[in-house]
Amino acid sequence: MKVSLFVPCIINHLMPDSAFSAINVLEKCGVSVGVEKFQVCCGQPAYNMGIYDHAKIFAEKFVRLYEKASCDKIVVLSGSCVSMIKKNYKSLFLGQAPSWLEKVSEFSEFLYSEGLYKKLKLKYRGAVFYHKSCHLLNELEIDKEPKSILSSINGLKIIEAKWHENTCCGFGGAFAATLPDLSIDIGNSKLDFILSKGVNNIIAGDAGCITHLKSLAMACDYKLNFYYMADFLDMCSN
Amino acid sequence: MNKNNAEINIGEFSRGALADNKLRENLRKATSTALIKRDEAVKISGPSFERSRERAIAERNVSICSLRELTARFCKNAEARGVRTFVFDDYVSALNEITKIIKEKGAGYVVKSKSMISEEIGLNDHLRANGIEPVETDLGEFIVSLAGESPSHLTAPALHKSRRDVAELFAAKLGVKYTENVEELAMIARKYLREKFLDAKIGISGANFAAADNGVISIVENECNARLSFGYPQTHIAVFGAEKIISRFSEMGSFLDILSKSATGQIANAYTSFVGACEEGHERYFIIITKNRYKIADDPVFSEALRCVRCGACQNICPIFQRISGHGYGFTYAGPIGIALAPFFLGYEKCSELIEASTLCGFCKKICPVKIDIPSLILEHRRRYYEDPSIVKTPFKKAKKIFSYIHSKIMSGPFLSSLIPPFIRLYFKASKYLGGRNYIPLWDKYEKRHFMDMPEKTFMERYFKK
Repeated sequence: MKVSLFVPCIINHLMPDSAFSAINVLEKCGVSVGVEKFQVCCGQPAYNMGIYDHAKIFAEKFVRLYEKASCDKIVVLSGSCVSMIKKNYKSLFLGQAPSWLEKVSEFSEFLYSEGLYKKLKLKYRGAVFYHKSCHLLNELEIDKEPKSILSSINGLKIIEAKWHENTCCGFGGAFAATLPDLSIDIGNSKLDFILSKGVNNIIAGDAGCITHLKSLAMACDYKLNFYYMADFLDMCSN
Repeated sequence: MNKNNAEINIGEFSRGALADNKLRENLRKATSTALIKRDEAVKISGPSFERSRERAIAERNVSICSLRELTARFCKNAEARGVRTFVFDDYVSALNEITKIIKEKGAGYVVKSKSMISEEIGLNDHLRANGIEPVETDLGEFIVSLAGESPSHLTAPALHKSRRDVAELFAAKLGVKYTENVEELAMIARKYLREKFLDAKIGISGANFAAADNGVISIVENECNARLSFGYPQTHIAVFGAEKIISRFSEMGSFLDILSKSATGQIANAYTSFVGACEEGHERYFIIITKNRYKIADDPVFSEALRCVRCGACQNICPIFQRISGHGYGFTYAGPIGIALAPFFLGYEKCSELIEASTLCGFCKKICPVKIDIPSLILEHRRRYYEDPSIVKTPFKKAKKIFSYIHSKIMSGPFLSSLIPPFIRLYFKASKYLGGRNYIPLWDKYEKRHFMDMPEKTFMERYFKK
C-alpha cells in the first residue's frame, strides 16, 4: 500500500510534529508514505468566505498535482480539507470534478477502512476527551472510525460529550476573525465542559480545532494537552 | 421583519448578549432541554421518524416545484368549502385586507394564536396603528407581547425568559400577586385571556400546513388557545405563507409527525386541528402571502429552504443562536434557517454580517427534520454576495477579498508560500519584541486568545531537508 500524504496548512506551519507522527503511524502499519513537494492549500479559506474564484485556483492546483501522483490513496490530515476536496470541489468544477478524488481519505478513515490500525500495538494509561471535529462528524459522517481506533487503545478511557452537549469549538475559519466574541465564547464553553469532566488530554480530528482551543487555553493558563489524532496514536504505539 | 434599515450587526448584539449572564443561563437551559426532549422523542419513535422525514422531503420537493399551481388549487378547494381566500404578494395589501375585514365586523380587538408570519408582515403594529388591539393568546407570545418584545424563537417565543422573569413581568404588568409557580402563572394568563376570548369577534391564526387537494389547513398547539381563536369568534382569519401548501392531504401526517418531535420533543402535539369547513353563521378567511416564496421556489439552490417546517430545531442546536437568541438576527426567522432566508427579504447589503454568523459546523443540517443543507445555503449566500457587482460591499468584506486575493496569489505557489513562514516568524519576533506578544490583527484578543508560537521550521522544510 502506497499513500501520498496531504499536509494541511495549519499542520505544516503550526504543528509540523503532527505530520511526522502521522508518517510514523502509517509506516508502523506497513504503509509506504510519500509527500508531494509542491502541494499547496486546498482552497478552503477562500471557499468558506464565498470567494469561489480564488478557491478554484487552489482546487485546480490540487487536481493538477495529484492526478499524476502514483499512489493508492491520498491521506489528508484534516476532516475539513477532505470535505473541501471531496464535496466542495464538485461545486467549484460544476459537477466536473475528477472521479479519482474518491482516492482522498481522511487519516482516521484510512486507518480504519483498511483495518490497518489493528496492526498497531496501542496502549495508554489514562483518560482523554475526544472532540468530534464538526466537518469530520457532520459533513463526512466519520464518527465510528476514530472512535473504533481509540477504543482499541489498551487502558484508555475515552470521554465524549453527549450528543446535545457536543458542540463546535467555535473556530469556523474566518468566523473566528469576523465574530471573535462569539467564537471565543463558544470555544471557552467547550473548554469549560472538558475541564468539568476532569480530563486534561484532548484529542481532536482537525488541527483547526486544536489551534483555536489551544489559543484560548493559553490565555486562561489551563494546563491541557492537545493532541491531533496522529500525535496520540504515535505516542501510544511506542 | 427587520424594523430599522440599518445593517444587521450581530457582533455588537453578541457583545451585549454574552455579557448578560441571566440571558445566557435562560438560553442554555431552554435550548438544551429542547434538544434532550427531541432526542428522546426520536429514539422512542424508532424507524418511523426517519420514514416520516423521507416522506415529508419527497412531498415538499414535489410541491415546491408547482407552488403557484398548488396555491391556486388550494384556494379553489377552500372556496368550495365556503372559505374566502386571498393571495397577496405584498404585505401592505394583505394588511389592508385584514384590517378591512376586522373593521367591517366592528371589532376593537382580535384574539391571535401563534403565527410567525404575522411577525413577518408586521401585523401587530399595523393593527395598533388602526386602533385595533391584538391580543396574543399563546402563552409565550402573551409573555413577549406583555414585555413589548418580539418572539425569540420559532416555536418558543419566550425562550429567552426564565420563570422568574415571567413572574416579575406578570406582577408588574397585570397587577397580580408575585408568584413563581408555573401553574399559577399559567392560570393568571388563562383567566386574563378567557375573558378576551368570550367577547372576541375575530380570531387570527397562522397555519402549520395547508393541503391543496382539499383546501384544509392544519394548526398544531398545546394550549388550546388556537382552537379558541379559530373556533369561538364568529370570524376567523388564517394568515400563512404559500410555502405551507403541500399537494396532498394524505401526506400531512408525516409533516405533523416530524414537526412535533423536532420542535417540542412531543410524540404528538396536545391539539392538532384541521380547519377548512365554514359552519353556519361563521366566516373564515385564508390570507396567503406569496412574497419571495415563488422567487425562492424558482431558485435552483435555495428552493430546498422552503422545505422548512419551522420547528426551530436548527435554532436549538446552533451554538450562535444559543448565545444571542432570535433577537440577535434582526429578522423574523432567526437561527441557521433564518440566515438562509433573510437575504431574500432584506437584501444582501443588510445581511453582509448575518451571512457570516455561522461556523459551518453542520449540526443544523443534521438535526433538520427535512434535511435542509443549511451550511451549503449559507455558503451560497456568501458566494452571491461577492459575485454580484451591484452589491455595495462593506469595507470589512472588501478587506476579506483583498486578503483572499493575496492568499490565493502567494499560497497557491510552492515557492512563494515557502517564503511566508520565515516572514511570519520574523514578524512575530518583532511583535514580541515591541508588544510582548504574537500580534495578529483581527485575531488578537489578548486577554482571551493568545496566538501560538510558530515552530522554527515548517513540516515541508523539515521533510525535504533530509
